[in-house]
Amino acid sequence: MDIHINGKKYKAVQGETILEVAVKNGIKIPTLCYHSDLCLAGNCRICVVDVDGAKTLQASCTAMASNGMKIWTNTPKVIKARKMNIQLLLGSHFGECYTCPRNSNCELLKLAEEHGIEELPFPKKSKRTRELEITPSLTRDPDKCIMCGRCVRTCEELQGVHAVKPIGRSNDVRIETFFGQGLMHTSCTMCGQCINRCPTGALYETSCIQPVWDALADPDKYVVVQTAPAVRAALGEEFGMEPGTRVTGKMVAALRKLGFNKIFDTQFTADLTIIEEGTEFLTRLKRTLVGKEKGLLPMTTSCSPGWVKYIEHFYPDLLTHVSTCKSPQQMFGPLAKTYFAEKEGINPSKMLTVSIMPCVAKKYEADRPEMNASGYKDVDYVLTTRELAKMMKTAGLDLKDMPVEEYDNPFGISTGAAVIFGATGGVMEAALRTVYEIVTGREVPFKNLDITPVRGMEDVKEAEITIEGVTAEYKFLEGAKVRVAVAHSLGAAKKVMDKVKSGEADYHFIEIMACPGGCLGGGGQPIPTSPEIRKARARAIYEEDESMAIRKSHDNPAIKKLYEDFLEKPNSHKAHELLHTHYLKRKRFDKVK
Amino acid sequence: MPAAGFILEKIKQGEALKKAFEINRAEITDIIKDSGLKGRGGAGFPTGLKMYLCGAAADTVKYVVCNADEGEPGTFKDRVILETIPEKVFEGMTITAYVIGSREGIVYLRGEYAYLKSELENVLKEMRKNNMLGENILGKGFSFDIRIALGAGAYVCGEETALIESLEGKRGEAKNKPPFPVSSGLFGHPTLVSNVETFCNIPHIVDKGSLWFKNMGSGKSTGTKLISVSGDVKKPGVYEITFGMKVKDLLKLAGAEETKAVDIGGASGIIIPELQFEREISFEDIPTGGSIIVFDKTRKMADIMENFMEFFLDESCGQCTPCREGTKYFVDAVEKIKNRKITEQDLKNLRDISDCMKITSKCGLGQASTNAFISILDNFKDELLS
Amino acid sequence: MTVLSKISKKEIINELDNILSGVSLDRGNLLCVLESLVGKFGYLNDTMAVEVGRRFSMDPNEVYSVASFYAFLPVKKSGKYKIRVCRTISCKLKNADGIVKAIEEEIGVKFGNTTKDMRFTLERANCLGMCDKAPAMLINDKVYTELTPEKAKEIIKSYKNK
Repeated sequence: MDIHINGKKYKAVQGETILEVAVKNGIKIPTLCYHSDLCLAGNCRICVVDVDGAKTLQASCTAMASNGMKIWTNTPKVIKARKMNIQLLLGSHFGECYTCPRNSNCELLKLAEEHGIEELPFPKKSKRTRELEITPSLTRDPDKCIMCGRCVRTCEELQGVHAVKPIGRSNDVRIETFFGQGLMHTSCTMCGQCINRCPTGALYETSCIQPVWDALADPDKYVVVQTAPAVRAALGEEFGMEPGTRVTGKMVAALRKLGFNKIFDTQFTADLTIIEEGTEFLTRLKRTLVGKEKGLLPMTTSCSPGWVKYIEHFYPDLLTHVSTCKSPQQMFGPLAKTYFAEKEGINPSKMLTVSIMPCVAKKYEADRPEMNASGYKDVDYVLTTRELAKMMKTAGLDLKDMPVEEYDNPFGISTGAAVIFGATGGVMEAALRTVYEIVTGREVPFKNLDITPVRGMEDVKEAEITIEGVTAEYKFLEGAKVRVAVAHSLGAAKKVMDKVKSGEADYHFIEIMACPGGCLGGGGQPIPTSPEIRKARARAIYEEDESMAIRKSHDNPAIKKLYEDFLEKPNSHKAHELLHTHYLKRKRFDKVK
Repeated sequence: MPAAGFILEKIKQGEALKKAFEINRAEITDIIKDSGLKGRGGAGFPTGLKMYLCGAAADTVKYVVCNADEGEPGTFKDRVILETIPEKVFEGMTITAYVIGSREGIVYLRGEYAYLKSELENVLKEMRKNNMLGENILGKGFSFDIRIALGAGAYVCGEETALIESLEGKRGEAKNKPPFPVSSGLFGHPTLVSNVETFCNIPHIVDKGSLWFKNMGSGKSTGTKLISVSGDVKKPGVYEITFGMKVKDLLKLAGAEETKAVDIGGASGIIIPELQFEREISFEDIPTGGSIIVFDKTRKMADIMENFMEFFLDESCGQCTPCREGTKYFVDAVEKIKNRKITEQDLKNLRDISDCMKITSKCGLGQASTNAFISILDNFKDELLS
Repeated sequence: MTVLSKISKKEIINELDNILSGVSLDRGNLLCVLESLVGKFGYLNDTMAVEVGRRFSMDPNEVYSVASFYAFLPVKKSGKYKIRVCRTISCKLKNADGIVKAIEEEIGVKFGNTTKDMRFTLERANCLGMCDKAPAMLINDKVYTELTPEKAKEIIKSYKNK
């Protein structure tokens, strides 16, 4: 069908919204409550357009295009109304932009600027009316909330967590937790996906920047830093680079300039995770197939702290299925403060470990009371990708100008299998590369080691690998069909776990990441996020994998040496002490009787 | 009850329904269309067209919903209908169901009227006993039943999409239209939502024909209208008028004296001064869902403004920007007006906000919520700003 | 209904079993179930939201969100008898403010508050649809019209021992 926008004719398909047709044809209509990851709300009334024959302006994000429709996107009437709605939002938004963590990419501020808002026709909210809610991972500033509902839709549709909801109505409507009990007492998983979709500074990570500056400035402290795989595929966006730009070496250089004593890679412990988790998986397989034990399979991954907290709240009876392996971040912490500290003769009490993560749940994870295997807090501070960018900017470091440098040894050596931890399906692919080879002595039978069935952005992916030609030790696996599933976003996790709970699923191994796209779409990553941006980051991750000399975790020489020197063997007693953990059955609402 | 007309009169139950069963469905739709009957809740959508659209929608499940969420300040005529002739409403719903092919009807009764529920249920029971509802009604092979659902204190649920959300057990937030309920309503099924009074008209039109109906009223406003009259009058109550009646004549009927202003249409309506009492109540001149509140010369217009704006501050659902954020400035403005602190610039700004609310609010509530303020401002400027 | 300052989980579960007997667990019945709970306990609390959520396979926070939208589904402690005096203009013209004042005197708390014994909560309500018999108020489901301050006091007195 044909529709007219601003006097020009365009083709439209039945079921397309006005906004979709406009975007397709390069016509920009400003939006606010709209987000490409979420269902339509049509609440903010910013994207209104004039449609011939309609008495009122139409929200282009929800209004369907129909044949012969004549649409005007920028008439004085439209602009005036749009401007007023922006002003109305500004009027109730407690803005002190100069102190706002989102002042460099606030969508409301941008709209105000684009619409030439110079003053408000009414007094502006000048006082705080609600308190900040501060958790280890995220901070909620209800005074900056403009009720677009994106966080609610994120938490509900994408994550199935329902931590926050609109409460009350009218001008008193607010986003709140269950009976106002707070995020820490309800089942917020701390994934931070709401942050990535909040248009203003109403949601942001709880910052650790200041203590890190203090640590770096303290001559008495030895500060080591680890960087997660997904950070290198996104940090560039904070410096104006295209999504999908790989910046590994430049990031390393910047960290060195910031003054960290050692620049290490979480990928090193990602490789270690594969060895530990792969071994655990084989043990579980044996105990199930040979020992006929129950409750061990399917085994799920445990690297995503949002996922871990989710299963603790939502499927507490299935916790035996979760791998006991700590996440790579939490494997790194105790190793740095024991193995590395001993090796280098550093007093671990003077050592601080900082991690750069695409995640805000990692902050919560680092704060879990059991995470002190080294005798100290294993990971002292967690910074998000965004926080690192901010520190660099404070220090006057532009990523674009950085030279390319290498990680330090020994925790700087990693493989392609570790890089792909950053993308959904990556842990599974890495694990299969190793497990298959342990069991059969041969490489996993996929071209160029690329296990494509577990890649991509489908919310639940499934694959099956038949194991043939096993070594003597793994005779019980001859001919076994190993079935795996990969889910990203907690909504997808729910789909899989409901099947596990009902017994319908016959998977052996499940990878679950709390965030869409995996860590590359994490709650600590640059804002904005969209399916396209996440695809671009994934592309960068897989390119990085291809570029690595070693692509299987068990081939990582530094890992081999770590076992020889320190851990003895996979799943050894020492490995269990330092690298494995336990989980907590949590209630959905711990304040409820 | 000082009413004259037919709406509030008892009829012989089932006569119209029997007649309807003898006519084919398309024909009934045509009769209703031809009668010119429009929705009596305030919006005035042609009922016959609604029937046609809902009837034409292809679905095996359809609903007939009676909107008894009478919340507009000053309106109580639906309460009186439900107190006196509920069976007529139910018969109207049944005929409608027969026409569009629905098996389930729901009366969405506002929470404030909860005390009516058990009596209404008794009536439904009685009708079932008489085979006027339930399986195989009057032996004609058509089955339909009605249940009562209670609202819980939310004016916005009078808006049909919000009402449907509420019936689905959700927050009563209006939805984006289209799709309209006639194609996708309750639980996604085609749903015909009409006002209590509208359903009351249907048995009469089916019984007496569209010509009879068209002969009443004026121009395109056919039939009669129940008007709830309250405020400064000697005889408050429900009046059935034929469309086209002048405001001043209605005032006389109700025993209004020394009248200064009349609110037509409640908080979302308009307030007119004496100069405009010659105007007519009709879809062409002043349309209304049926509320008339009369104010005598002792009343202060600013108080009325304040009351209405506070009403909207309470009742906005809060989801869309203009309605949620705009209303409070009008409440503040009344305060300023009362303190003689309002400026010309303030008034200009308020008009700008009002314009924006009118054309960008998601539903009728926000679109109409400044009507009272603006009309009082326009019509009583001297009193407010002197 | 009894005056409850503390409601036990057991009572809630029993009551819910009661309410739900013969009621299908379609979400369409949610409001009516919540209304019944309010009828019994006077308001909704977190435990009720969790229990209702469990029955309806809904997230408890969604139950809370829905309830909080409606004026008649209080999600904060509220008295056994909710006195709702119509604040809309027709009643206001007929001395609704005087009625409120009389009730405030009678129960000893101001508008918007609950008596210490959790018996009465005095609230405002928007148009009750009784404009022809103004001023009007609701006490729970019961409507009282053509009030005078004296009449209102008498009515409240009659609830003091109920």
